[in-house]
Amino acid sequence: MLQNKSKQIQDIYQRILGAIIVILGVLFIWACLDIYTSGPRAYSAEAIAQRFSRISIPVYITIAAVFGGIAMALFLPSEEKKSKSPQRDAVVLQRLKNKVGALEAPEKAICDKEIRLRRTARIVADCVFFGLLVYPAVYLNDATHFSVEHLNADIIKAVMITMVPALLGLTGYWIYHLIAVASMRREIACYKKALAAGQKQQKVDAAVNSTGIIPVHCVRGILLAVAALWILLGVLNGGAADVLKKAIAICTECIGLG
Amino acid sequence: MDKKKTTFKEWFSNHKPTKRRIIQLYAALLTNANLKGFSNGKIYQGNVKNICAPGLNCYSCPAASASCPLGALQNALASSDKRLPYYIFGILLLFGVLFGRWICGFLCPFGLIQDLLYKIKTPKVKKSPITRILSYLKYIILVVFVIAMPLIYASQSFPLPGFCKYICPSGTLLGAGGLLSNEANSNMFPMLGPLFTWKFCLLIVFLVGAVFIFRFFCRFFCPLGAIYGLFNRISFLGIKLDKPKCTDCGLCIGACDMDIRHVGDHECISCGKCVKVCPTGAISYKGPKILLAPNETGVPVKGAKIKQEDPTAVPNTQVPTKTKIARAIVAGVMAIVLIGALVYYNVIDRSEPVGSSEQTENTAQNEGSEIGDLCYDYELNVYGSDETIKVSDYRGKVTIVNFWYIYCGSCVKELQTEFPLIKEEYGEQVEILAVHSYEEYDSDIPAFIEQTFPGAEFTFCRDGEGEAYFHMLGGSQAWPVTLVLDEDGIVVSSIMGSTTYGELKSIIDGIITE
Repeated sequence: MLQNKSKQIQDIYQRILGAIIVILGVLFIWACLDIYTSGPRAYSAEAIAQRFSRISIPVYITIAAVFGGIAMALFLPSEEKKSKSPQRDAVVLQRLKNKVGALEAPEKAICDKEIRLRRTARIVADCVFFGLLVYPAVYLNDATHFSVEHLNADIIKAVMITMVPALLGLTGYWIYHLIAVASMRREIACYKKALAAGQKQQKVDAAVNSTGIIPVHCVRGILLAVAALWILLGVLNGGAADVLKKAIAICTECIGLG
Repeated sequence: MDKKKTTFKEWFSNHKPTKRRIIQLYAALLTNANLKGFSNGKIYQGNVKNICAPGLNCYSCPAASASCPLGALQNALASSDKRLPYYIFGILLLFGVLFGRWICGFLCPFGLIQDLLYKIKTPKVKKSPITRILSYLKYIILVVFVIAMPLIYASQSFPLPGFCKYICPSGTLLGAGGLLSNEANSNMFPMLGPLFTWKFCLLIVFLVGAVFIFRFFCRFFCPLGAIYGLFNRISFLGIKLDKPKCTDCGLCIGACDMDIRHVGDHECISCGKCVKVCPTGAISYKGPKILLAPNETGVPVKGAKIKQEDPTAVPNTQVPTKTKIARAIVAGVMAIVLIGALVYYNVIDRSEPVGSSEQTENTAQNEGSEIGDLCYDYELNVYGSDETIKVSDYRGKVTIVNFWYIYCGSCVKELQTEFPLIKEEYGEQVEILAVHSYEEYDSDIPAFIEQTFPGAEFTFCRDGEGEAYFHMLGGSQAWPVTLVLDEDGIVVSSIMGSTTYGELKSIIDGIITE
């Protein structure tokens, strides 16, 4: 009972703290925008101190709330979080495949059909994604779309032209995911049926790892040798000096200046 | 009454920092060992910055002791018309093969910040198929901002580190935050504008996001994690799965906060949560067992059940004595390295920024760079000739002295777009001196000038020892800076950061009409 009560208190506290942090984030953004919109070259130590001092009380409240949460977590009894196996269909399907092994008709035919369906859906999703990126790739490849005079406008346009199709393409993968989940559930039903019918369990072949060891070491060795060679070439052609040249000067753009 | 009173030892044992956290703190401190940078407001300029730190750590942070690989990659691609970027490619390949995304879990300072923010007790957004799909966004950011943008503008000889400029939160938090919080850099405030506003707002979004979503920036936006993730399967360090022991229970995937599909895939940051929960001991760390042994966290290895029957049972750790000794030695060496680095950067190293305070002793009286001062009259060498000029040679004309740097995109942009308009408007009434610092990197400059500013009617000069830079800029390490002098050589305006044609015109018109 005490533990339930403690859990309830902690839940409510966490929600309140979450809301406070979001509000504080909004206040910080508002303060920055307030300075920026107050005029050209409006930033100064005084302006920043003035604007941010207005939100000092919410900052103190947040800090106090965070410490309160830490104290609560340290000293109040809390339920130990137990890891749950996700009932994700892919995980369940793999487990069933290991248990059941080879299927017999008609389940095998159904499962083969579902595998083909998922494979086709995946290919379509890949084609849609990469197809949508063709135009952005062509656009980015054309240097005439980019000029130093209209730098920011060109960058924003390029980002929109790339991100919008990319996000649409990712939406395609979400649709594939929905199709795949439905298909896997049908396949799971087949395996469960087969399991109920008492099909023999097939032993999982071991030692998949051991056959991979030699190729992995070879790949590592080759890549390390290539890395060493490139580093040496880079030192010889002045690339290493370029890194230093850039690193010893403040990158004003990187920190938002200039 | 039912619950036994917890002793301090048990309480400490449950709440002490994990080895991973200690390694993260160690790496963050080692990567930012130049602590005196916070007190003097200057960045470290020693030769050690030839080396790249593996994690995301802006080299404009005053404490940064090494370069950022992502920044170095973008600058190398921006200079790819001059030389192929073998060095940085080799560095990234080396880090990838050795560590993979183990870097994200153990060595990245910004990852540490996100881990600490996630510990704040708020409701959390759990992973889902949507977050899995969104995790591919970082690859798009890698292609567009890190690779495409620098390459596109390299053809126009314009250095544009796209990700660093428009997205990187490390630069805003550590670089801007570290520099602007020091009074010595108060002259940088006028340089803040729309770019800083955008980056600051983005930083707040990332930090607030990290409170609610595990590794918000790393999962969806970090191109460095995207690069290292490609090597996860073959890296020396990381997580591995012993497939014969695996029963596909899925507890590992359930415990993981990242968007993994399989243990050790490209999303895995080797945090080790899956190692703890695996009931059969099928998951372990790759590489040497010195730092972390498999299943050392207390789950019994042999005869394990999925449900832990007795949570108070003493875990079967059985760490061999040899391993304990090896660990002690490694810990000792790491401690010596860290102390050595702190002593070196903060006490021994004398890589003072150009224009150190010793040079102020020779400043002539009443000469300087503040408004109303007689501009310091220094000798400048003209590129492409043996001619030496002085600022005072141009008395009788309005003189614009612009300090620029070859790797500064803002500098190059205003020299390409704003100053030619001024020269066209005012002709011989205005003289423009474009002064470049750092003589030791001089060899690239004449060719760069010829290629980037063809037909420019400015006088490009070399500030060989950096003294004009110091005297005229007050020792600032940031470019561009523009001084506008009247006909008598008095400083009328001192502009930190980019300037525009309109701004310069209004200043010059004010001088001429007087």
